[in-house]
Amino acid sequence: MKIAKILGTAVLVSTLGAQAYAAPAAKDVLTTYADIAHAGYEDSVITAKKLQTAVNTLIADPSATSFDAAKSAWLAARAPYQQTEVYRFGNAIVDDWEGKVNAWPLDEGLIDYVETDLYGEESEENPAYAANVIANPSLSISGETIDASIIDTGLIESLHEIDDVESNVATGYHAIEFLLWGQDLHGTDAGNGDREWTDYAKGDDCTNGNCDRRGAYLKAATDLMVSDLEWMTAQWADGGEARATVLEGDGVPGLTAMVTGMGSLSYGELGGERTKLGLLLHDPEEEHDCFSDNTHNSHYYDALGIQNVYLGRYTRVDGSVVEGASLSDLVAANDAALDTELRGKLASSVLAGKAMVTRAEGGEAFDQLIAMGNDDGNAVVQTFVDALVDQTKSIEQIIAAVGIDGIEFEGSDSLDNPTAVN
Amino acid sequence: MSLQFCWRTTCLLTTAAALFISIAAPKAHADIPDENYQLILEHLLTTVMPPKLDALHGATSDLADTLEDFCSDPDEDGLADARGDFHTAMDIWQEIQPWRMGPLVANGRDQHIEYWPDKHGTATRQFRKLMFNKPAAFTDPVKLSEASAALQGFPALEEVLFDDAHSNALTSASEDGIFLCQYGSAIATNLVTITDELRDEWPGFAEAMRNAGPDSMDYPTAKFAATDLYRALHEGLLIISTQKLGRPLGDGEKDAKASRGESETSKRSLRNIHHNLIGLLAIYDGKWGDAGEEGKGLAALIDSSLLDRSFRLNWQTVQDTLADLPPSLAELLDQPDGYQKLVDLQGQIDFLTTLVENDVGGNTNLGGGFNALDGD
Repeated sequence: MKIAKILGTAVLVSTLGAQAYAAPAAKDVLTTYADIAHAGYEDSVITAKKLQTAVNTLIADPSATSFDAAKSAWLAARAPYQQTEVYRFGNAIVDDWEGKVNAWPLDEGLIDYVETDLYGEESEENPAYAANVIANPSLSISGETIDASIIDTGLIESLHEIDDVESNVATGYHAIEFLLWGQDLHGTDAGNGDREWTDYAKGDDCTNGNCDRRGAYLKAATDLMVSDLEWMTAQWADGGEARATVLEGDGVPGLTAMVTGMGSLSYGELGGERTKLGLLLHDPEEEHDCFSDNTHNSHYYDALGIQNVYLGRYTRVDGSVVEGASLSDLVAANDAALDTELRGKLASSVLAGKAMVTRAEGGEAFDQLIAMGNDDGNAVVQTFVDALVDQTKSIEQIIAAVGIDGIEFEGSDSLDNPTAVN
Repeated sequence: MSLQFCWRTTCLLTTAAALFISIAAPKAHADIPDENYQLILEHLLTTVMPPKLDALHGATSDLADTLEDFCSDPDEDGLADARGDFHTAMDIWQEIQPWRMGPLVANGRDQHIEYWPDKHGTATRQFRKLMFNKPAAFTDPVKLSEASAALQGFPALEEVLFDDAHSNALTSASEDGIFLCQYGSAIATNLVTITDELRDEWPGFAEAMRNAGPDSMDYPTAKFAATDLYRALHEGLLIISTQKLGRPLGDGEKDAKASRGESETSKRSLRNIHHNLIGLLAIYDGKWGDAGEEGKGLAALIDSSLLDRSFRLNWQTVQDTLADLPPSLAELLDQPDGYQKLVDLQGQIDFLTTLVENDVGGNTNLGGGFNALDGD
């Protein structure tokens, strides 16, 4: 009953303040936010369909060339998708869905053969740790028999997070990545997964067995991912649920989602789980794109996505630009210094991400950068973490700048109803 | 709390991909002068915390000395002494642990002191590899300080001292035992170095927080700086509920597993929570053992005696519950009603969390922001 009108509050703050800039309407800012989301997911579909075509070619005509083409298509597909990750936190519809396409880390022994000396053969926490769907037409997991004779989208959907174990990742980018690269057995030395194209070869050329089933799995995972991405794209189109949610009412959900997404991705997720943790543990298992050694790009595009949302500007995969009224405009109208500060900090984190890309392109991938004893490499990664933590502090100040902290809450039972106090 | 935002609380407590912003957005409340926040910062950071950091450093020094003696002449008594010193140091650390701010978290220092939870089983995997190779570098505290956080700190030392599989080796001075003892000694010595650095860096941080204002690069207002204290209180409770209790509780009684708890190898998971709560109360109350003064923590900002009474009452309820439980989760879960007792304890922590989220946050005009639990 005491929810303040964020839209009104934001405009009111800027109207009453002696600012040189006119504040954009929150609705316009949120429309840009939704437009960028739609474009980002649509680009993810476009690039995933190119991956789908490449996978179909690989399966029909396996060769080193078609295998490399599929891997290149996967790498290209990551760029737009990672820029959408900033939409995950703050938008429940995205967060509930994203595990299907980008869950990580995974116990890859669920899907295919692994090197058991490194990986082990069982896990106390995961009954399907080494189930190896590709090698086994019939699976027994936690006493249940599963018919895996036909590998299709239905089967892998049913296996995803089976037994409620999050690391049973059967679908999405990282399952496909494993199927294209295989395990990275180089530790923190140079090199990524060494899977050969012959893992998809026909007849006697097939290596590691079950090439037809491996191809079927790869096709199912790719088809399902395209379908999942198309669904999310529709949610951000005109009339879609995600767009409607951020634009509804007085603007509170939308602006809150924007700031939540920027801050949560910057701090706990990208800065913390995906980067700082790897640095703390010096462990190649702790890198996001661990099979392909593409983590530098994934991190860079995540950081870029945060900047996109704030600046209200996204460059699409075809080079065209989606832009409009931005959160930056809204903040600037109320606190120009904060806007300048945050723009600078976002640029710094993007730059720090780019520095990792440059190192990787020079032959030093993320898993090498985080290696024990690589002080110089560690410092490059630490700079990225520091930049993300630093920008989070400024993102938090947006809350006050645009008036979100004007939201009022009802009291809790503990005070309104003292008898409820334990 | 408004219905519109209830879902955020639910998300936070049920998934690591939690969203945390504005759930603690304050109830409408009169502005609090910035100097009031400044008084709290000064009291908590310059009076209350430093003696505890000295105590932690002293306890880790005792632990390192005891381990050195034990390794020179290993026997059962020496192992018992080392285990006793481990518990003493761990008790103090668990009180300090929730103060996640400044030098405590800088460069992952808290993770180097205690890497937990180990969500991906990294410590187990790396320890297995360590014991296979037994690299000499890991018996050198300086070189160890550059290694994985999972192989440093209290959990790694706990594995050495308390895992029954190592006891015979440790006391019989076998090849494994000699390596383990020297490795454990290096961990303890490294902890002395880390806690010494922490102690040294704290005054500078406290000074920066105390001098919050327009001239500060990091803390434009004392209120902004004090948000770190509120967040430590809130996040500390969330971590108890979602990680220290939530992980072993699992998705149901059949899924419960004591080994997912913190420090369960040394059978002290619930003892940790007892000490966490002491450190958390210090943030609220302003008194911590002999240090500080009652009512000079965040409580000084609260103008509702009902809220103050409610917080203290609920905090004491949790401590009373813990006093009736064994320190080990495994021991508790072995009891016929053990699982339910653990669920009840979690419920009490959650109630305290809600109180902090909605009422302490509102009354102090602090709250909101992001926390480390936002990641997967």
